[in-house]
Amino acid sequence: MVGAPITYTAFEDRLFSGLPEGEIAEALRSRGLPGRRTEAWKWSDLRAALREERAASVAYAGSDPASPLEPEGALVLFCRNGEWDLPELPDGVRVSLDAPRPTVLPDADLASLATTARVLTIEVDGTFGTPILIRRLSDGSGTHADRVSLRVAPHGRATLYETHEITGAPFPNSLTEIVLGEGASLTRLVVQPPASEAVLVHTSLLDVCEDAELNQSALTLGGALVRHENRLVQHTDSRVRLDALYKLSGQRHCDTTTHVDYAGTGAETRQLVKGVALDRARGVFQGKFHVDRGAQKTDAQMSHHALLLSQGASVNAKPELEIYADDVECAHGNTAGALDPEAMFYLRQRGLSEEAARGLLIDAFAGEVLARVGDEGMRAQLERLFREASN
Amino acid sequence: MLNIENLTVEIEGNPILDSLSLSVPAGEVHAIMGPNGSGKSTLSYTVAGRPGYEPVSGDVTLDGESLIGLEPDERAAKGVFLSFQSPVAIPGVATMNFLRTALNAQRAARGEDEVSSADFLKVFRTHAQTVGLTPDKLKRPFNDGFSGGEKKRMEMLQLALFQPRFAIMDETDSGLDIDALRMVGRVVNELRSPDRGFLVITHYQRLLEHVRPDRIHVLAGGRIVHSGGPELAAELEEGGYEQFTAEAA
Repeated sequence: MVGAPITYTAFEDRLFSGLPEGEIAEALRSRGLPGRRTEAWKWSDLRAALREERAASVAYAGSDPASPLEPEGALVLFCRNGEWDLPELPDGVRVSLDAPRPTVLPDADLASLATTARVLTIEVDGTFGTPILIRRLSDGSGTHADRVSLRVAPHGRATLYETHEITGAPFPNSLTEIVLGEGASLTRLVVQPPASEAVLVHTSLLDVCEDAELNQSALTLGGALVRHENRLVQHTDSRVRLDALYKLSGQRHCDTTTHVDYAGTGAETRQLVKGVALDRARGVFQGKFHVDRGAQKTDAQMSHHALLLSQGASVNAKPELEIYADDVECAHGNTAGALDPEAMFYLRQRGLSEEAARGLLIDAFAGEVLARVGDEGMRAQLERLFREASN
Repeated sequence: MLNIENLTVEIEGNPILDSLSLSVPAGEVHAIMGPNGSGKSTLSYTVAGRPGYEPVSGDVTLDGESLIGLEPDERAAKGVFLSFQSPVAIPGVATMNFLRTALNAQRAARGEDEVSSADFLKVFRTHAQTVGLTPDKLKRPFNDGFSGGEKKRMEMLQLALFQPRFAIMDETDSGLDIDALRMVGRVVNELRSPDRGFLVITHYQRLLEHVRPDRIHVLAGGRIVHSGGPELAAELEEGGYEQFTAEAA
């Protein structure tokens, strides 16, 4: 279908003129940035959020803040406004910075845009006991992209922590590609402290091979517009935990979008996403399990539960199951509501102030997601980050 | 001690309590008995300050000080304790942490020192044993997976722990077996003292065999229609509420 030509926003104008000619430029020019009129982005109007002129980011100006996550003995890789800073590497891991590999990814416009960035390739063989921490630091008001490609060899084990630490009003666009080889396992944690002025899009493409296991949790505190999109392919007998927790106040926005394709039989997925929205904040959850005809014995559960704590707060959710196989166990659940008034009164009758009672119930609500983080130390750090974000 | 004067409460526009007056002097245990829907739970919620149960008129005072307009936690700090008819379970809230925080919040509001973790644990364990809750239950989130009876034991544990000035027990006996009823009697009788009062709301005489009240009031149609001594319980058991509700009508 050929629609009316798009009138580019000031940002699109500059962005598209700077793109190297090729499929990506062509595709982006024809559609413009995704927004209200794009089904997959209808609740996260990126086009509107990026309307204003925005130049390429200059060098990171600030000093490095204290890390929101402090995994013991981790290999730390810094990316400051899209520029990598690589440390000396221990045995068992290979890291290289490679030339961009432009590819157009269907339904993933923004990820395509990040493919113009150089690729930080991380290869883990066997059991690499050292956790890898990628700290993406962003500041200013420009735009930059980064791309990470992690490969865990068959039967290898790895732990990947990622942070987005943003000050000011930049637009970082991150792409993480992960391939878990046969029988490999990965624990992944993504953390994003609040960034009220910033726009962030982080797309992750994960290929979970036969018998591989992924345990993923994300904690995000939102921004002017933040989207964490995870697109997975699960192969035979793979196991995935795909959790997320968000807490938004002020006018912050966070979009958690996941898409899982089942390319083999007997795959298992457990997804628990919970969110808290206050003031005029908005949470978005879009989840889709796409079970192909051949993906028999798929066992997949998706849940999204949100707490709306102010009149002006909102949550949009679209949990979807698209099932073409006949011997599967798939379910989804979705709720949104206020704090239980019975529980509130009970706690206050016992002496807790309204604020303390609210805090206790909010922490309890979130606790279900955080309890699934296996590492006790990391769990405690996530609990602290969650609690410190305003109620 | 607790004085309720001409208390009128409407819930969603319907009058539930109708100019109710009641006085429980310090050191006494009063019981309220009455048919279903007579306003017993509304009375307990109004005294404890549950949002939505603000009186249209009348007053509730504790030691001469009005409770009306105070937040539920302010009333708790002044010594009002409500043993709930149907206590909630709160998954995700650690029992001991919650109760210690609550106790210290009350103490802070009264200008008293905080109770240390060690001291709290000692007291908590003693009370847990008294009410018959095993340590594995107390490690669970608050009331999580508890039976009705266990929840009532948890209410009694808190009564012993908070040592309130005035306790309202809203159908604490419902769903309890004979041993548990005896336990309730033990906890309450141990706490009876010249400067503490109790209001025991119940349907049945059997609890009052373990907690002997000084006065019994019959609540019907939102007001006290009859009052008497402890012997009234047997009369009610014998002749039902009708003898008094008919009198009120």
